[in-house]
Amino acid sequence: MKKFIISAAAIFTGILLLISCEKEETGPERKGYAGGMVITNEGAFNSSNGSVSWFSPDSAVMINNLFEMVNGRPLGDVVQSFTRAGDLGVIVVNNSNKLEIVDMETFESAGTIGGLSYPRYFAYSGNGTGFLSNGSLEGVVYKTDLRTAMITDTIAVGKGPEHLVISGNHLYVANSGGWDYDNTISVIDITTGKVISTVDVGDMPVSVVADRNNDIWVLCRGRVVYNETWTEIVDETESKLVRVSASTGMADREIVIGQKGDYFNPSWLAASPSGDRLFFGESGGLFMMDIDATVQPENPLIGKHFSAAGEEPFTGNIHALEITGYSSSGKLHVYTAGGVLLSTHVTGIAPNSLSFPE
Amino acid sequence: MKKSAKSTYLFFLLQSALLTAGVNQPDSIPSYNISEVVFEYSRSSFYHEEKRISSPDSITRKAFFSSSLGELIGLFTPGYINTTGSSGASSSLFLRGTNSYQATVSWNGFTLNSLTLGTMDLSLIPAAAVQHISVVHGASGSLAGSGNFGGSVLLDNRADWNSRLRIGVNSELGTFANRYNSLSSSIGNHTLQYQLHLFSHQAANNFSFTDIYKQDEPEEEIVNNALSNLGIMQNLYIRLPGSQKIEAGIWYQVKDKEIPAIMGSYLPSNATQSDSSLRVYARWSKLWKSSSLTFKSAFFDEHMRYRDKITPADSHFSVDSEIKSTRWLNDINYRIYLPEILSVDGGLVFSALSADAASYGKKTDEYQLAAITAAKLTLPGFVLNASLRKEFHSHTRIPLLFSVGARKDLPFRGMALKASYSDQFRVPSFNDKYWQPGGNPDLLPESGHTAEIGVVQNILADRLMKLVIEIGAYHSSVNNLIQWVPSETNVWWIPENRKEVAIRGLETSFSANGRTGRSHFTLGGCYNFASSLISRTYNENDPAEGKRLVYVPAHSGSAYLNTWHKNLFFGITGRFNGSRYTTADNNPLYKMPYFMIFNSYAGYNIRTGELQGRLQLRIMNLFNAQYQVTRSYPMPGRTFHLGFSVEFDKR
Repeated sequence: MKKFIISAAAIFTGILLLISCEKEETGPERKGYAGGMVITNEGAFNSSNGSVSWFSPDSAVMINNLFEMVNGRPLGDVVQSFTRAGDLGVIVVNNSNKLEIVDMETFESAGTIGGLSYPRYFAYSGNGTGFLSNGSLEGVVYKTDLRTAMITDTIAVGKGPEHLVISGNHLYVANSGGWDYDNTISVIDITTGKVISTVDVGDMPVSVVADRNNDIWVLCRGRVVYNETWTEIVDETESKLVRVSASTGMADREIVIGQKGDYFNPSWLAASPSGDRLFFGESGGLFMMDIDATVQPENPLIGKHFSAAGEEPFTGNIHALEITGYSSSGKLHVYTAGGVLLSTHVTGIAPNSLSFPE
Repeated sequence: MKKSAKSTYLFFLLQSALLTAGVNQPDSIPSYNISEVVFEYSRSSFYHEEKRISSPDSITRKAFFSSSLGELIGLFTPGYINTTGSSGASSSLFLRGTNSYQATVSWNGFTLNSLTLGTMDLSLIPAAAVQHISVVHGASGSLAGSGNFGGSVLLDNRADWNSRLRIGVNSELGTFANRYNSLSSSIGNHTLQYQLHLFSHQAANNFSFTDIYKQDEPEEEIVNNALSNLGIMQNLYIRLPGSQKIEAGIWYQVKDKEIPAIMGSYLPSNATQSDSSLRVYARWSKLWKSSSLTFKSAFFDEHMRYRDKITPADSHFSVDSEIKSTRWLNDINYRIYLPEILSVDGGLVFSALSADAASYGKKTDEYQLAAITAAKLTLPGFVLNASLRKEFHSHTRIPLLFSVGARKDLPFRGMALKASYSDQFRVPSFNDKYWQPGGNPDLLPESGHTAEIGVVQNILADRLMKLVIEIGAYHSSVNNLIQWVPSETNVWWIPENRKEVAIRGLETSFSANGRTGRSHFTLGGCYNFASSLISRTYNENDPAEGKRLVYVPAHSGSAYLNTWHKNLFFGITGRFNGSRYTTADNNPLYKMPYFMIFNSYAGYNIRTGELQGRLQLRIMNLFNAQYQVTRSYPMPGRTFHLGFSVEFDKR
């Protein structure tokens, strides 16, 4: 009996120690793969070599090809984006016409939604539900139940819907025009699933983010105008950052960015975790801009072209992705907040988006 | 030239030609008279004793009569055939460790490679439509022209002057609704021959495959993969007084192919590609006492249209891309046979090329002129060939090209040593130069050379047994390799002269045939090792330096066995392709594993008088291997093909 009591006490103490050690090491909010950055690597078109990389900003450990490593199968063709959705993660695989749902702790597959014609980006609204933009021409947003891996509603929006962001009870969708033309964002009530307004912003809006005031910033790339035979670019309309007020729902500020001839740029937009700064990529490099600014900064923070970038919430370092080609690995560069290069890491092929731990 | 000396000389020429052209084709050498052999061979075919030549034997050709050129070449060469799927799927030839656009295919001496891409889709060519197929490994740039780093495939139609009336019908039914039918006929006499070849190939190609890109790896059926290929080829040959000959040919073909979705896709594809071509050529030649003059001209009109829809019900195409191209190709050659030991060629080649594609913005024309001279020194047991080429292009500067090669009989029975050096080049394709946006008219041509040495041993054990063994090593270099890469700001893709490639290789082959009583066999095999390394990159950030070329296997080979006993026949072929990297940085994650495929056939042959019939069962991918040649494109498993042939041949 005495031996039993001693043994039980030892086991109990051991369990307590293990639990306490675990809490100290990772914390309940950052367990498993949820505690690191997720990078999507587009891969080469029709080669099915798109992948996901995982990076720990703390230890600088990079794990490439994570999805295949965990699930034993390749992820697919043209990996477009990744979104955290509570305990789950959502990977949009554009040319495999699917959305892969994974467990954020283990990265094990938790479901697949297929049959999507042109899926692009996902926004999580809570309770296992989110919204997926889809369509290269006439666009829709699919309301999606991640727990059942089912599409529960279809909401028509503008052409070529791309990035979307949720602010308050509203979902904002950038209607980029896709293979045609558009200049609006759609505003959807996430409770009713109805479009409550369509706001004119600027030509070809490709990205939307929310700032600390819940105002929405829209990156309008500008319209590239071709000649009659579509072989020569003859003009380009202005690229803009447009602010849509959360209170009025109207565009209330426009900042012209870039210059003529920087076709298809700017290409991406990100907000700092605090929501008081914006980052965007132009042909001249990575620009950082205060949300109170009224003109584009004169000089880039980093004079290099990236496919995506953002500020890591815990260290404040800037993490930026570089595509070195569609037949070789890309790079993740880590810079200080002031733009000094700290380290470079190898990613999968053509990295195009990153998601920081929350 | 004295008659006896001339006969000896011509006999030696004939023997040389047969030794090189017939290494692997004991049953397919035509019985031309001596003067015609010398008379008819093009420069590429006449000056190549030192080259390695592969040809399919007639048994293999009969057994695989419904095959495309790509499927057939895969059976008798170590060349790697890169394909995206089942019958009718795009396929291209990688020879001697080079890229697919670095090998050419010519038809009766005229290059068929796409003007716009530079490659040749071998699925477009029905192998049965031409009588002679030979693969010249590492062809000379000064003789064969642009794009022959890896080699060239020569397709030739020839008249059989002994035939009076021949009618052959071939039909085959196969798995996945494969239906192939062809009619081959010829009629004529010693002065006029007319040939007709009609063919039709339809297939649903709806095979099943294991989708390893999906959860639980489900078994799926491929859809939108049907093929329809129809064509007609006609040839006319006329002998005229004064040792003149005229020949002409016309080849019209329409191919429609659905393009399936890749593995892992959750939506079927709606894409289709249509290729149609009209090719016409004419050739006049005259033989004098010790010289010959040949003039030939061809006109090619080719059309490709690729279309895609978002849904099958859409009336609007999301992609509708169309390319039209025309070529007018001319070649004049004078060949003189100097006393006893020397023959010299002098030739001019003029080409007018035109392409009309929406992506070019306007109709685009180019003109090319090449002056070629070549010489052959023939001594007992020794042949030396040399050639020079100067080519002028309206948009690209081409350096002077030189080649030299020799074949020397060794003092061992049937053994010969072969060595050669040749300069090579490849003119940028129209897409490289004119595609908008991105195309760059100022691209430099790819340039390089090949040096090789080899030994061939012909063993004639007795009249009933023959063995040929050949082994050789080669070194090739390619400078200014053209590749499409994303622009600096990743806005669009641009072609650049990016790299230098060094290829060291080893090739070996053997073939044997024998007969005992009423049994007969042919046996052969070949192997190629090619170390294709990027020796230098012109961009310091390019991670490819020191890496292998993508999709080029280091090891490849094939083997075959054909047997007959009385009226029964049986054969088996095997093909091995080593692993291939698919990314420029040779990331092992995306390396494609090796594969080995076996095919087999068996049947019964019957002959009564001038009528011959044949019934056969052919099994492709005998052991049902699951594999991919191109990443994420599934290949069909085992398929069965039941075929019959009936031929009437009056001679």
